[in-house]
Amino acid sequence: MSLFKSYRALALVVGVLLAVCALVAFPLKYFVTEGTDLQQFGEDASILWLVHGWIFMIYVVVAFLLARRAGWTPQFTILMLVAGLVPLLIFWVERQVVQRVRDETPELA
Amino acid sequence: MLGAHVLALVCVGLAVGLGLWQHDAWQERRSAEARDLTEQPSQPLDDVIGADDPFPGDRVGQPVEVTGTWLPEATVLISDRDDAGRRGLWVVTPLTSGGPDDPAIAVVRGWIAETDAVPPAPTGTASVTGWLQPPEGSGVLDEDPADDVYPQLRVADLVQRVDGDLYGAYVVAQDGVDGLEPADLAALPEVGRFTALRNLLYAIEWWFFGAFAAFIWWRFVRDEAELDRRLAASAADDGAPGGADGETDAAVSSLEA
Repeated sequence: MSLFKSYRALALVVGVLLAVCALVAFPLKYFVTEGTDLQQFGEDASILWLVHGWIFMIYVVVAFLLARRAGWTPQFTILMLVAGLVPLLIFWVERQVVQRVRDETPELA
Repeated sequence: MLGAHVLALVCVGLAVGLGLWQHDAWQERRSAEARDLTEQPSQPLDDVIGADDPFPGDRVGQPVEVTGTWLPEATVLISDRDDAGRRGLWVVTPLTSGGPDDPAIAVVRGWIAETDAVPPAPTGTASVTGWLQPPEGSGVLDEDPADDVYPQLRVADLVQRVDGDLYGAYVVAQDGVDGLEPADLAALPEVGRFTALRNLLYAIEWWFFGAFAAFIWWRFVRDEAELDRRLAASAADDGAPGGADGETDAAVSSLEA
């Protein structure tokens, strides 16, 4: 699997996990009445934070390697890394990356 | 340039610090879990906790002896208790510590499979040895507040059924009282057995990010040094024939070529 394809797959997984954690599990855990099934679900689903963290580690390495091989600026590299921590941002960043690779370095695709 | 070094140091320091914090939390929880008192010799109840004392957090599972009078009219059942994989209930009756009017402590007499199998509550005086446990209560809703079945063993629920004072704790009888199947300590609701592991995994994560930040920093420094070296080398090459004014020399040589 090429670096580019790995990046796209990891971005999707990290993005979905982060969205579920930050936009579903977190509000359910803290803003729903304690003791209800929904609140319990939010608490149980919070284990996904851990999963997100570990997959994000792989994402960071792959994104860094891809950015270096494509010769992108440090600013854009940092944006790629930070995108894994800001809910929903990664979906937009991933599209930018796809665009850039197709325009600039199609041999990486 | 200086800003980049500061940023790198802050990132690495932060990640290492957060990792250490999670690692400490992991060790703390593990050592707390490792303090198993259940095999210790039993002590009189009042040597471990007084009637008005808060629960001594380091005495969970301590075997205690309670001698006093049963309060059979305050018997309750606690639902959703497992025993070797079977779901059942705990039978709980308060036992005073001392005379019949002294403060009482809730005693888990044993485990039953169904609500219709409740044996008659004991009367008179007794001496019970059991494991001391902190009262439960994390806000589980009681679906039918009118009956004798509660979802958790809470002192606040029992207080309404007892005339005197109650201890802020309960005791799980080591042998079932009056032939009841003894309640299993393992039937206690889980106290986040994975939490400790989670802290360790977080610690590893933080150290990984710290190492990664250090790696990027090192690359950056190396690239900068490489750039400096190349600039210096090219300046030296160009500067060799005509002294310090390398730029003019370069321009001249390019004209000549």
